[in-house]
Amino acid sequence: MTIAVESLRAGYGSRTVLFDVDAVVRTGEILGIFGHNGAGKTTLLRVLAGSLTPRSGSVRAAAGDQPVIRLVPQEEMVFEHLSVRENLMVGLWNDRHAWRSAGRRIEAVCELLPTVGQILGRRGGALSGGERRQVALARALLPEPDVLLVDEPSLGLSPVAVDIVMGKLRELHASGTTVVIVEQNLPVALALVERFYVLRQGRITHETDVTPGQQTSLERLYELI
Amino acid sequence: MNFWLSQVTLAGVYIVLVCSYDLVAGRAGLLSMGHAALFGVGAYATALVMLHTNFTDIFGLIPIAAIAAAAASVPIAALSLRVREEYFAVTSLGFAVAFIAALNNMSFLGLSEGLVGIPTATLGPVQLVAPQTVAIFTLCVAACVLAATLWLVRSRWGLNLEAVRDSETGAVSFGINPVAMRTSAVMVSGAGAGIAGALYVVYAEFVSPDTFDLPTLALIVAMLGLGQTIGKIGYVVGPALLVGVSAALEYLHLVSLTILGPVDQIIYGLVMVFAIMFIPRRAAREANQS
Repeated sequence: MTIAVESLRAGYGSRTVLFDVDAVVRTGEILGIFGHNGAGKTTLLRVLAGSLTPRSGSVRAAAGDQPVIRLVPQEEMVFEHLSVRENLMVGLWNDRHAWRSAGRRIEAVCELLPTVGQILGRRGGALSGGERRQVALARALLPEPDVLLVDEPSLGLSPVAVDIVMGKLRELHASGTTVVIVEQNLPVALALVERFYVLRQGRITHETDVTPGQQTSLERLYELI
Repeated sequence: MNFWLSQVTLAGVYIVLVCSYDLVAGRAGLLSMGHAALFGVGAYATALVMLHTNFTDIFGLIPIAAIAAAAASVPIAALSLRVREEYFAVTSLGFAVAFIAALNNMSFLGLSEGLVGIPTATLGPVQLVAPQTVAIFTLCVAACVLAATLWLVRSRWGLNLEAVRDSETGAVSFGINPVAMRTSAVMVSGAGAGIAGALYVVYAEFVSPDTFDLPTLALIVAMLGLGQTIGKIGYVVGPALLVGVSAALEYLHLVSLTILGPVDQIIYGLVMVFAIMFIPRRAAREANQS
């Protein structure tokens, strides 16, 4: 078990978004978090990533485990006047060790994402939606994370681009990275995940293992959500 | 002082000003109109120390000027946290205008006549008085500032600065502190302007409010804008070109001495307008390359 979330409450200002959420992220799995807009999916990812402090409850890694966790946010945060290479390096600024080995790391990431390798010299402002998504993914991969959190990777992408991004997530998972994905495109997401939670109005209402061969029906999932 | 050597020295001073101005106006995207005033703070601080203490060691004076200008840039840094874009430009201009008014009205700053009789600066045993010595020394300092600037813009700090400029929300999401970045950019840039001020005092041995007024600001903006259209060598080419044009006009007697100043201003103003028009277009062209 990599990360355990226990009776978590979180929110923004006076608004509470998550109520008593209990969940686990298991090492090496690919976990889905599904739900309507405003159900609290992104908030849960932010808490997992450590960028939002919970009101109460806890998010803990297993004893002695300090997983590197990176979030690929919905808004890719691609800096328009920086080159793609510089965009990748922004993510490394507070890690002297990673900054020094940036060249090697970028090379390694470009092996997984060859498209990014071809556009390293281009300005962030000149990228297509699919390229931006891949740059954001590459940036999250540079610190060599154990757990990758991905927020709506298919949003605004053409079906072909969605296939590419999902394929990359599958490859990453196969190479041992734990992946947590929030996704509205359920047919695409169901084909990818091994297990999923359904979030409804800030509470986890359902948890299902997706057993290979035995397809969870989409109709059933739509009902749950 | 030999005419051409004095022009080379001036170009060296302007290289320092353009390098430091790029940190704030280019990299941090804060179009500060206070840079000429900070140049003045450095110059006046140097002049006051030299006049009142007879301390003339340039390696002591440069840090004093840098610290004074960095300290004077704190109000501009505070402004940069509250107002953006053209509002920042206009409010920082207020700072510059107030500075010039102070110079013109405070007797210990010499009023509009400025400070005269500043002793010759020394570099160890060497008197910085011969035109060649001053020119070489100024260019050496300019080269150091240029090297430091090139290093800074490639550093993590420089990258973060540009990230904050492009998208503050994006930068925050990577844990970058925009307040710290903007403040440090304005202050480091101010320190650079202060260094230029010290160099100017060594060269001119005289300071007056006119030198640090709006025409100088227009010149710095024009030099940076011109330089930015040609990349990193612009740090040197921008100042060299504009100082060169002005020197050529004077040397060739193309215009009479009485209207030389105004003609210079018109040229700088036009270059500034064109440079500012071309900067976004160039960025767009880069963005369209695939």
